[in-house]
Amino acid sequence: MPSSSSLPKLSLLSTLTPSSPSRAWLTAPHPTLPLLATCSSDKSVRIYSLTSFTLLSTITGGHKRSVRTCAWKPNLKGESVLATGSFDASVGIWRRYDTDDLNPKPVIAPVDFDARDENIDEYDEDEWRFAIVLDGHESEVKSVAWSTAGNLLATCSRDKSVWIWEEVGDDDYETIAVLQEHEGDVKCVAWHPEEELLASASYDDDIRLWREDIDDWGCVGVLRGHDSTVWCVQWEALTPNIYGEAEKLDVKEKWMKRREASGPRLLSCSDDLSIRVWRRNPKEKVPQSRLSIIRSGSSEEDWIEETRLPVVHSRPIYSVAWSKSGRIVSTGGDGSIVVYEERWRHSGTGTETTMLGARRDTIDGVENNGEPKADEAEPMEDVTGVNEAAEDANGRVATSSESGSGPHATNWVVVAQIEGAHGVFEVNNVAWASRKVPTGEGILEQEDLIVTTGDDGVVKVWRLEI
Amino acid sequence: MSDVQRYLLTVGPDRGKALDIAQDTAKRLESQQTSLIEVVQSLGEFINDEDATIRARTIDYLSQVVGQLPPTFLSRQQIQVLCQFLCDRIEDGGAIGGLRKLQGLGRFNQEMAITTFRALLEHFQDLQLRPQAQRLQILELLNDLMSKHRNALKDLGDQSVVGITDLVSGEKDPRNLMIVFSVLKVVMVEWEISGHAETLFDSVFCYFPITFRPPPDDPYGITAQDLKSRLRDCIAASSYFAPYAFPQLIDKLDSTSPNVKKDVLQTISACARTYSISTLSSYSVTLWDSIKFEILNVQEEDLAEEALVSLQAIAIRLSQGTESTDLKTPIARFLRPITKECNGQLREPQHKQAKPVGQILSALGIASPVAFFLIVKAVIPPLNTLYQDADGIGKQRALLEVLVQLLDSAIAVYGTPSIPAPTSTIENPLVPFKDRLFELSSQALMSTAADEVSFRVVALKALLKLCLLRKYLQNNEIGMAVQYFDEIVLLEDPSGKDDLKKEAIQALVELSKIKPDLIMNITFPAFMAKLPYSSPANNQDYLITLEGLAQLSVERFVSDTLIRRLLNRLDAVLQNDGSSAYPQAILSTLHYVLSQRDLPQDPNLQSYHEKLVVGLINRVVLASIGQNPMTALNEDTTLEILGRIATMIIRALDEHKQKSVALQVYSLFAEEGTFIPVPFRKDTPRLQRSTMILSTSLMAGVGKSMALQYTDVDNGSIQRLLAELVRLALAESVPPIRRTILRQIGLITNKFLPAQETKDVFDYLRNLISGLQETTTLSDNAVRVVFWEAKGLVLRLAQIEEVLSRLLWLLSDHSCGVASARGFGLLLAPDEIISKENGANIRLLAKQKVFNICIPIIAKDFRNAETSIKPNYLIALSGILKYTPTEVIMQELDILLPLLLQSLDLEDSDVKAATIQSLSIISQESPKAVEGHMGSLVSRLLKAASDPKTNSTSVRHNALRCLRVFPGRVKDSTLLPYKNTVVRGLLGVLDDPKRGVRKEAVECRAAWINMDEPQSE
Amino acid sequence: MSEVLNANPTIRNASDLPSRRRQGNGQSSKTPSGLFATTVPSSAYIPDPFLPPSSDSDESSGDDDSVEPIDEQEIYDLISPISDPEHPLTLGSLSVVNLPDIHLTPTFPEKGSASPLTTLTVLITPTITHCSLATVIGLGVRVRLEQALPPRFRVDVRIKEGTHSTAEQVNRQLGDKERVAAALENGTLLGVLRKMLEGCENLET
Repeated sequence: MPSSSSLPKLSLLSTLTPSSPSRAWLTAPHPTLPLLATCSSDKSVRIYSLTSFTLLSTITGGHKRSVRTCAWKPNLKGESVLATGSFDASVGIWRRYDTDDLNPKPVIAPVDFDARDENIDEYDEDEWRFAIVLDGHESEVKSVAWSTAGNLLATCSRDKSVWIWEEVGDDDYETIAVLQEHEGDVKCVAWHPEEELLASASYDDDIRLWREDIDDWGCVGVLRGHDSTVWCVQWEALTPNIYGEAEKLDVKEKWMKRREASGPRLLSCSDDLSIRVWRRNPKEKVPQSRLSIIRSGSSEEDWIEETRLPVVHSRPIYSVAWSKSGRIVSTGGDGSIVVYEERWRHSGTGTETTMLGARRDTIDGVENNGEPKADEAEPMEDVTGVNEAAEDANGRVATSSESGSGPHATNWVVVAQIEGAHGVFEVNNVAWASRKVPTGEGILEQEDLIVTTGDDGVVKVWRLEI
Repeated sequence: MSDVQRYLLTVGPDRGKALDIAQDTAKRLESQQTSLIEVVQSLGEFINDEDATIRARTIDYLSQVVGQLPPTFLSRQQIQVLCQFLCDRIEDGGAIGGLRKLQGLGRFNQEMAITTFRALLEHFQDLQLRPQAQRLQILELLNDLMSKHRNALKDLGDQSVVGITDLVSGEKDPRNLMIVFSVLKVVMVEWEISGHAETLFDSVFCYFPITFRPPPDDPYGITAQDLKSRLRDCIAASSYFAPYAFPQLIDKLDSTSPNVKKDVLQTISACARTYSISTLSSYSVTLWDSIKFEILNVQEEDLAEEALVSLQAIAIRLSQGTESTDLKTPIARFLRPITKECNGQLREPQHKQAKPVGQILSALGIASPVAFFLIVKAVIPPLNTLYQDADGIGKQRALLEVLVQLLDSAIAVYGTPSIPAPTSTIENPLVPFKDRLFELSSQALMSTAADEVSFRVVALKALLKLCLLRKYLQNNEIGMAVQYFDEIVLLEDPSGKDDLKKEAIQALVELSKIKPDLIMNITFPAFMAKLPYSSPANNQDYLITLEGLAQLSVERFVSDTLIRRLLNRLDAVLQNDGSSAYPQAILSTLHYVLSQRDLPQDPNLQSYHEKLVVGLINRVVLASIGQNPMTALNEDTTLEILGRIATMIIRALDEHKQKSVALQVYSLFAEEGTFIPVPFRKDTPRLQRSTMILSTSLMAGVGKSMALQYTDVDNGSIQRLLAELVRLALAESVPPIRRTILRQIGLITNKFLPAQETKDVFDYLRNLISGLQETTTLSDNAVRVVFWEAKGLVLRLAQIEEVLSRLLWLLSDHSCGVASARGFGLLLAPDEIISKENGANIRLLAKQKVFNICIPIIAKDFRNAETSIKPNYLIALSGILKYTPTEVIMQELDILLPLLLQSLDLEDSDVKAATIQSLSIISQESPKAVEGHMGSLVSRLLKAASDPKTNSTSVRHNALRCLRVFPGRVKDSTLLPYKNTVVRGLLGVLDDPKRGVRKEAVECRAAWINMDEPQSE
Repeated sequence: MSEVLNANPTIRNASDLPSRRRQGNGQSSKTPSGLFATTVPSSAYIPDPFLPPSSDSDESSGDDDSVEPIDEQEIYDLISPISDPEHPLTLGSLSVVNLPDIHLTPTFPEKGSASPLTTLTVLITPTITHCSLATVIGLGVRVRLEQALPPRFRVDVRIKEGTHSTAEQVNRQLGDKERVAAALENGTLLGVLRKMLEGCENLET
């Protein structure tokens, strides 16, 4: 764990080649292999190697319009499965046996502009098999996500609905839920890291939580607060990671306890230029009578906005990602990449703020953009205050005392920032990727790579040096 | 065997032979060898044969025989018999043909016509069941009867009306319909049809609208338009149709197809022209109510046009023969609702529907004096009030535009001073409003904020039209207008108001045609007064004045005066020495004015020669030798302009005069001893050397047959002069002087050198060239001389192969290769001195020859050349292509394209620009040719379009132009692979520092983006 | 769209629309309109071909290193010729787009020239407050600008305050990158847009 004084540096590691000839939407790192899948408006998905940083293969012919999104199925051995979602309203499932050699086929570097077009089709498509197409959505599919176990696939679309599919057999999927409470496009879906709990973000400014309640999927929570389209939601890892040293151990204790009770937090970014962290208000464990289970709304969850990250972006924030090591990275229309750390709060704030202040100066833009609103990020009194009020209204007092100390315990700071990450182009997506790094005691897996995808069709890999 | 038998046997296999047989019969009939009776009897059994074909052929035989007889051979009785005979067998093939022949004969009379007609009606109730060919025959017969024996059928009255309509009803074939329509039209126009109007109308209107598309290989060449217009004539044939026609036409006006609408409107117009006034009048308002929508909510411009035509047609018809402005007349009743509607629309003059109001009013106003009168009476007063109360200039402007359009029709109706219109007893209704209108438009023009350009432009138009309107404004009022226009041109700060100034000048030009005196007395003094007597220090306002004057002098009378006054002013200006820009401008003006005249016919030509040529040139000479120095006259630019004037005037002089000029091209009309000509003289001072510019223009003006100074026998041949000029050129370092000497060399070689001497000059040239290649210290001047000399020879196709091959050698020369490469750009470049007008020897084939000779050699040598000099060939190539006609270039594409692609990689921006030029032409003319090279073309053009550091603006611009040519011309399948490359590649160019380039990039990119992906829905 | 929503809109006269030439400073007019160019034929002064090429021959561009930045007028010229989906009229003449409603501002003012990003805001004024075509028109404007401007521009197309009943939704849609992108892949809609943009080609400036 880095000492609070040393700040990570963000540097460009590589630009994947050849890039998509037109806008690329999203890049999904493979859960286990050094592979990246990039969705492009040229109706194809490009598979790049994270070791050689070059194109391995291109998946084409499956979709009639832009491929907007894709996701790797987790927990597989020997085979990779990729789900793709397209503006043509369909979802595709693709399979490929993992080959040992992930080295790229020799690519004729495009000397002449026109060479590129031919090269694309050069890779043998056959290695990627089109397994099945999932039809059902009425308009553009905007996000797909596999549940942690991999048995469930969630998809969402401009048709305002979220669909949940279950794999009941080889390439055989069954719709088990069509969730339609959202009042606008559903932009993003994300599964809780351990529970079968799904979060969805929408054009209607809301985030909704869904889970199965007595074999029937329903909405168990609405997270309101954003003032405009919520572009992306992401879950925290199972175990939190707070940087720096806590001042008072009891505070830390309390915080950890509460975190344990409420579980992984939810992260959201929006057109309203804010990035927010949401926390579940755990119910007190009252042994419930069997009857009470039937009581509708028993599965209702109570979530509160825990904090907002310092405001750095000046254009819509399209994508955020939360690393296992607890860092958050965000990007959007202004083309900046920003990395945040959660730190134990120091009451004195002497050293810290000066240090941060110093840091801020070196990060252009934060000064003016960040400073004023940054306060919002610090004291949570008002926010929690509001929540307490709300809670009081709900007639529950128990949590208030404890939750009071919670927010105070930590605060988020900007630790690294890159502007114009893709030149003048907008950046549509950011993701964390891990890689195996040889060290003294052998290969060690560390997640310090950031992958960004832009309107220029380019995918860039950045290294966060700690 | 009887003729008929032989006929029957042969007609099947060989109709031609059969016809001869019939002809024999006819001959023998004529020569009395046989009689008609015998012939008819000979038909005997065949005519009753149960086989229809036999019967038909038999009748056919008879018909053919009759056909071969002279028109007057058969007697009335005989015809009578035959007619009856054929009518009885009318259903047998051939009979119709026979009858057609019979009815053509002189003695075929009314009764027979009727018999035939009746037979038709009786036997062909089921006409439409018969094959098209037979129907056609029958209709043709009917048509014949209609034209030759019309009265007979007419006398049958109803019987024929009903008969014909029944007979032809249900016809579908276009050829037959053409006949049907014309037959029916006759009935409609000439028969008394009141009882059958509806039947007749329906019989034709059922075909409306005609949607007929002739088959691609239609042998009869009948177009939809033919059918449409014939049908239209029918519908418009009789006023009786009105009750059926108008409602149904109006109905069809709701059609969604523009074509149908157009057809309807044209038909309405046709009816309006022919229907009786009273009939038309009872529908006129209804028509307006439905037609107006086509105009008020314009969807298709040309439909609105048609609609206006219809309204106008109605107005014209309704006002025929009436000069009465009474409000009860049909025309008045027609116009009332229209003017009402228009006045209503004008309350919101800026709304879409108000736009067409002006058009409607003027279209109707033109219709007739009466119409115009009524419209003006109804519209002008409210228009005036609206104008006064209008809040905001936008509204006023819209109203003013309507006024202008009304004035247009006023001029159409009452004419202009120069073009009188047919006189009318109705006095111009605008007269009462004269003062108001004049005041209104004058104020709008002169008392509005200066930056309200568009508004003032309209006002100016209004004022001008008032001036042009015949017998309207008083001279003094027009005079005031002229003054306003003068002010605008002269006094107003021009910034941002070019439009207004242009309009003002144009207005003055217009007026100078009808009121030259006003221009002379008002405008001229005003303009001249603005011209200073000495060069102003640092403003150029005189340019605007001079330009105005120049444009004004279209009328001879006017321009005479102008030339005189400008000359005087020039004198004065030259006296008060100053900057030369001003006198040069005056000279340019003179040049412009003279260039507008037909000089050879100009009575003043002589005095122009004296004053402008001899006079001024003399002063130049004096100035050059230091007597009364005038800096203006010492400047090369001044001499250039003066030279142009001289050339123009001398060209117009008669041979005798030209001779004397030719002998003074170098002594320049100077008195003996005052001035020593430049040639054959050592170290002449610069100022005097400049006079060579004048010498050049003098010899440019004189005919090729003239003997130039120094070229007559005693003083030596042309070649000696050429040699001397070469000496001067090699030594000359002042660019303009050097250029003019080089031009002389070219001009003399091309124009004055006798054909038999070209060989010697070529030898001379060859030595020069070899000299060039030997000397290591190359002299650019030498290269120049070589190419100008060569230009002279090449253009007249003298020794062209040798010349060119020598020049091409130079390309591989290390010292002078580059300069020579550029030289090729000179060979075919248009030149104002060595030009057709100046009688130069410019052969049509020159360009093609140069191309055909050079291209193969360049292509070959380029391949073998070492890299350092390869560019020379490409530069030379671009120099040639620049002036080669497209069709010629097209012949050698396979050789050219690879070369052109490589020259795109050169640094030289001129070459690049030229190359891209050729490439875009090629791509336009024959897209196929470039298809194979798309890849390298696209990438190179993108490169040339990008990077402002290395590529000049024009290169970038042209590259984009060229890139934009492909979509649409080259087939998509070839281009689509590059779509992304281009669309992306141009992203950067969208940020080019130059607006013009960006604009081009935007359009180019749009063109590529809009290419459809094959699979896209 | 057979049902015309606003049959009789106010129309601005073409010559009254803002244009570069009419922006005062008549640079063109001080020097004469080249009437005398005829008297001095260019061929008389063919640049001496033997001299190394002139940096740039065509006069239109003037000196090559002078930069003409993209300004509001240029933006206006890009979008004013777009034709209204229901009239054969341009957005300019219908005053749907107006020069004063076009604003160019640096996306990061505090960074000055350090950042090339420029935010372009275009406020459109529908002909009537309930014009259901507002979205299509806005989309047309946005598409035209995205195709015609370099990527360093951030384009915001919005309905002008108080000129439209459902401005809020329309703005949201026009602002939604994802929706705009998807719209451009919708064949029928694309057809309508292309028709609107047809007028933009081969314009004289």
